[in-house]
Amino acid sequence: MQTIDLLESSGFLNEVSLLILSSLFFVVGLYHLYLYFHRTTELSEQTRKTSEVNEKLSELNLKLSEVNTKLSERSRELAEASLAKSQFLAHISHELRTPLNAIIGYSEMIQEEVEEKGLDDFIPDLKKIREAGKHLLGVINDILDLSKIESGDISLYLEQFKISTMIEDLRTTAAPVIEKNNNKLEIRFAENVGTMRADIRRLRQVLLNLLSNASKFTENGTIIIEASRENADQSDWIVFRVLDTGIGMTEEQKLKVFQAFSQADTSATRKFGGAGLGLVICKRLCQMMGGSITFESQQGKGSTFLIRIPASVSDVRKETGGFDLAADAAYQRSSATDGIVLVIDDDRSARDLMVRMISREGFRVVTAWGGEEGLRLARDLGPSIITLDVFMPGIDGWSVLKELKADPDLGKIPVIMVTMEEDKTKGFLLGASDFVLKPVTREQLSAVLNKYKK
Amino acid sequence: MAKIVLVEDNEDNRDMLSRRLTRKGYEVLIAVNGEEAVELVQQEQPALILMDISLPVMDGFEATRRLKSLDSTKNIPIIALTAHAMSGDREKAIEAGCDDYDVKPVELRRLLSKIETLLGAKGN
Repeated sequence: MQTIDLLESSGFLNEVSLLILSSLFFVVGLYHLYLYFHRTTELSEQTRKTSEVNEKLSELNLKLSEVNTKLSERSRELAEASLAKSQFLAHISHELRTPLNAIIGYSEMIQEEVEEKGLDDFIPDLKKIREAGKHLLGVINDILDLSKIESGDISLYLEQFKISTMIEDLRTTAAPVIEKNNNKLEIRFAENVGTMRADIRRLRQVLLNLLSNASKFTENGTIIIEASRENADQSDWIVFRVLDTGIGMTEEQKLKVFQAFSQADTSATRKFGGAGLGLVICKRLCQMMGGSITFESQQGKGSTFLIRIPASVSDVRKETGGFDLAADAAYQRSSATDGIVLVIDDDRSARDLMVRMISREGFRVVTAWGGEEGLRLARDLGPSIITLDVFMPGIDGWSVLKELKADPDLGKIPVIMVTMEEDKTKGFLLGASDFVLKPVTREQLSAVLNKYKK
Repeated sequence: MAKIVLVEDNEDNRDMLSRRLTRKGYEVLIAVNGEEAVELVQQEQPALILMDISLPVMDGFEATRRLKSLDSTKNIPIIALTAHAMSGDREKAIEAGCDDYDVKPVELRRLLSKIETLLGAKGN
């Protein structure tokens, strides 16, 4: 067309198209530049946000480890406080019981002397002193018992025993408290009641408490103790019932039965005495043995307390130190035929542990806490084996070993070194027969002892 | 008159028990710690030993172990006296070699019957 021809021929078209093209490129370029910057700022925004979050996370981590440190400190403090409390209780129990024993003992003694001399007038007053002393002792024992139970300081000692024998024994022990209120005690047990495995001491404690309560709240009445065997939940249970024909309880009193210090109400405490801890302890003890305690009562008619204990109590708790208390029967005394083992160790708890482990292997054990004493005992007793702790502060275990081996009488006795070190060369060079590595285990000790026994 | 060695560190307990036993016709000799006890028993050869467990210097269990290891004293019956009455104590007492065990506070009648049983068994 004419315009285009004109434009073409003047070369103008080239410049215009060049201009348009470059503008286009320019705009596109600008756009890309814009996009680039936008993304960069977006990215840096994200990066900034991410590092913010990271910062917060590290702050939190720091706080967490601070809290953890505080927690372990607190936990350690609590463990220390608990240990301190147990030690305090053990100490104070001794401090309380010792003078009380003197009060009870001396008043008993004077009563005996006075009876001999025919001075009967003094007897009632002396009895009062003795009874007050015994009552106080009972309260102290209850408080300490409950405290130990609450802090988990009690372990059960389980053994197999005949139930009928145990209950008959109770009759003698409960006699004074039953007679006091002119009550009668009846014992009943089913023929198949047989034996059970439980902590006999604690079970007696519970039953005596129930009998004592029954008699306390009954006058000129009858107390019945029954034992029977039941099968429930595919295992055997022993059920003990203590029934009385006493004053019974009101509805309000029933609610407070297992509460510490409530003893139904204060007027009962004033009239009947007692600190009101007995039943709480009974409940805890029954629970510890995997059993339960319940009761029924009617005011004016009497009360019945029922305890159910598994015929075979299992004790989940075991003593530390690898010593298993859940033995079936009382420990059999070892025969002397396996010879004497002399333990030389200055640390008391280490000695105790060795004694227990060695006794269980059937040996007699004697201990010494120093080299000199050890040598003297070795000469006096002629043990068949000597165990010697190498690292005793202030005493050189090696020199004790040397002396033992140098002595013509003692040199032949095998010496077993108890050590933390793996290197046995020195020991063997000096004449040790064998080694036991700390911490000493029963298996290790047993193997070594059996190797060297006569 | 049967000789009894009483090993007890507490003065009042010692006083009460020795006087009451003397009034029952026993000759009572005293040791106040485990070490003394071992020496005294070897020297005096009593018919029976009453051994308190918590003693200073050397405790009752260790003293018992020593006495039961010595030929001259191993046949003398020992009754452990403990304040604790924890069943673990009974096992420890038997392990150490005690012939019987009683709890404090001492009930004289109960203790006497244990003493008589052990002395009777020895034909004293």
